[in-house]
Amino acid sequence: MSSTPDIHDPDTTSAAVAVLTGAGAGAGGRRIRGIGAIIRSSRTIQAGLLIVLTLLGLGLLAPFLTPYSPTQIDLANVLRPPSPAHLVGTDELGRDQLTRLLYGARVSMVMGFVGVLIAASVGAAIGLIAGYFAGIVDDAVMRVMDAILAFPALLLALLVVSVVGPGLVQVLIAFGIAGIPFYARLMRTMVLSLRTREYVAAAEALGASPLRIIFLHILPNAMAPLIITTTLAMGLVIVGLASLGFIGLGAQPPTPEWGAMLSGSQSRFFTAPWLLLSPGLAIVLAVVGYSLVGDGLRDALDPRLRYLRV
Amino acid sequence: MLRFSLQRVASALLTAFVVVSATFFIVRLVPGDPATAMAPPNARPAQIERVRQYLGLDRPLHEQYGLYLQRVAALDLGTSIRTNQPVLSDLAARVPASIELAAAAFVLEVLVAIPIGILAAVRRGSRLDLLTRLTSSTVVGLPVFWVSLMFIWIFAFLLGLFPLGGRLDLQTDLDNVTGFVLIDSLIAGRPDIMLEGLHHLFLPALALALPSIAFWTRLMRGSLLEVLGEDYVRTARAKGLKWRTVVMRHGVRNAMNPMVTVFGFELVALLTGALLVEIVFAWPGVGNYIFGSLQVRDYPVVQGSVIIVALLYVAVNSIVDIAQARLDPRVLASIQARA
Repeated sequence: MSSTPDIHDPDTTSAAVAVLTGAGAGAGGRRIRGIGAIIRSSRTIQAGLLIVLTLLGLGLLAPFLTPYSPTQIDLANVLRPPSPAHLVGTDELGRDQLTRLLYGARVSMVMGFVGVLIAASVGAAIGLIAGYFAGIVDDAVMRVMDAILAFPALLLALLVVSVVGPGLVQVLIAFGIAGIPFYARLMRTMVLSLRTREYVAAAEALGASPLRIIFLHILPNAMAPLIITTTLAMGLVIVGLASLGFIGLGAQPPTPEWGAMLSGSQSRFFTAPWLLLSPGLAIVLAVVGYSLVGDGLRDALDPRLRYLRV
Repeated sequence: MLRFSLQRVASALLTAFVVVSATFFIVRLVPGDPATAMAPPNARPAQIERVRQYLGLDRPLHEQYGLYLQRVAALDLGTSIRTNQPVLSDLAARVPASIELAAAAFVLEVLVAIPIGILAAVRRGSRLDLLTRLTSSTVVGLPVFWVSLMFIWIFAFLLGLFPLGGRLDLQTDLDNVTGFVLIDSLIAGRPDIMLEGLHHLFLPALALALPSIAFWTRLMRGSLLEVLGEDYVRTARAKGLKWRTVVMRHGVRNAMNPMVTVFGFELVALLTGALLVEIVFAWPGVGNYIFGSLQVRDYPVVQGSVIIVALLYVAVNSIVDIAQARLDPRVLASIQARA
């Protein structure tokens, strides 16, 4: 994007190098300063963070920002167009749309985060183990990962729903599982290349346990791509959860989830277009926020990818 | 090459087996009871027990697994509770509509994304390039179902340019030969119906194609830029070839390689995306069939469809791998070097 940090800017470069190489003894402080420097140097990341944090903040503070309840039905005020009392109008059950959007931010932002967290932590752990121990363990684990990869998240969610019935939690689990192979592959590749480094050999020679080597020497050095992938995945998961909410498999009414809200107002083009516009715009905003942060981080942390992209 | 193809097919068969088994175990191991999920909410215990027997869930797990493998091998995916037809024949009747939609989206993607990607790469840094990059990074994250809703609202409802949904007008009568409206209308010798079909097809296809158009444009641009930096491009220029010839013959041809890899993933993206688009546009394809089945808890249909789509994915992936090794000798060489 237009605000890509300049590689000649010593601040950016050293920060990127600090994050990419800055593990090992005593580098903790430097790494934290590195991240601060990266955020300061990239307008892309700043813009993205602003959007994401605003949405999160609005979601968390929702009860203090609005006098209405997100679920209380008010049949006297059904399908009111936007007005000073209801800035984004009311829905088919008379609930204030803005209130539901705010509470919806809570659901979407938090659930997106949880979904990615499940996938990233389980996937990274599997990838670390497969890559470090190699051999049969590696072969078996990666074969299972390939099989999971054959299920797009949406299909996996369908499968889970066909057993447990619809709901936000089961759909979230399906998305978590569907994401695992991506992180497992990523981590495995990182570990395979990091394993051959001298400092890992040195730690092994000193008698460090596999756990110690994995957590202290390999994981910190593999963090950069992990963070980038995780951020970029956040937007995808939010859209995915909204899609499932929309087809009635995810969040169930009266939960104010953006996708489920759209599903309820699907046929309201004629009477209440604000009900169709607002949740969609909220989803787009969340996705754009996360992808700005992800793109910015990728530009700053992975100079190799940056040259490929430009 | 032959050896590589055979290896790839063998590995695909193994993955297919794991996929089929995984479907079985996910369905059985996820906490929850399929019989309870499938029975009506107010069913009595005795009724749930009958559903359980009907599904064979009262037998030991290994027996269930064996029976299940036998049935899948015989392409028996069970019977739809709703239509009382075999799931496979129900699916077969609806697949043409989905393929027509996905194929139309695919054509749109190729026609739009590749030229724009080439232009953006050749005129790198221009206003067109900047515009392309900004739009594509926003569009790529748009939820497909919402884009569909917006398209209907703006282009069909407000502007009245397109029909609200469906494959043809309700009163239009067309003999179903192949299931593809565009082909059937040709067989019937009715160009007017073909036009009507295209008119209905355009909006859902565009909604489905939009995120991929954005993604492909970016990919094409990046890939071409990389190729244009290669030595052989400089050599071609030094020989005195026209810039246009260099870009098309040396640049684009080589830049297409990474695109082929994406074609495989694209098919799946189109299939799952089509599911959502079909629901919004009342398109009578596989997506709508699954959606309708979900609403009446017709879960054998859902599981059968999931298996078919997953197997399709495995098959397409191996075909893409083999095609790529055939098209690009470097890919084959690197695989052989690793082995």
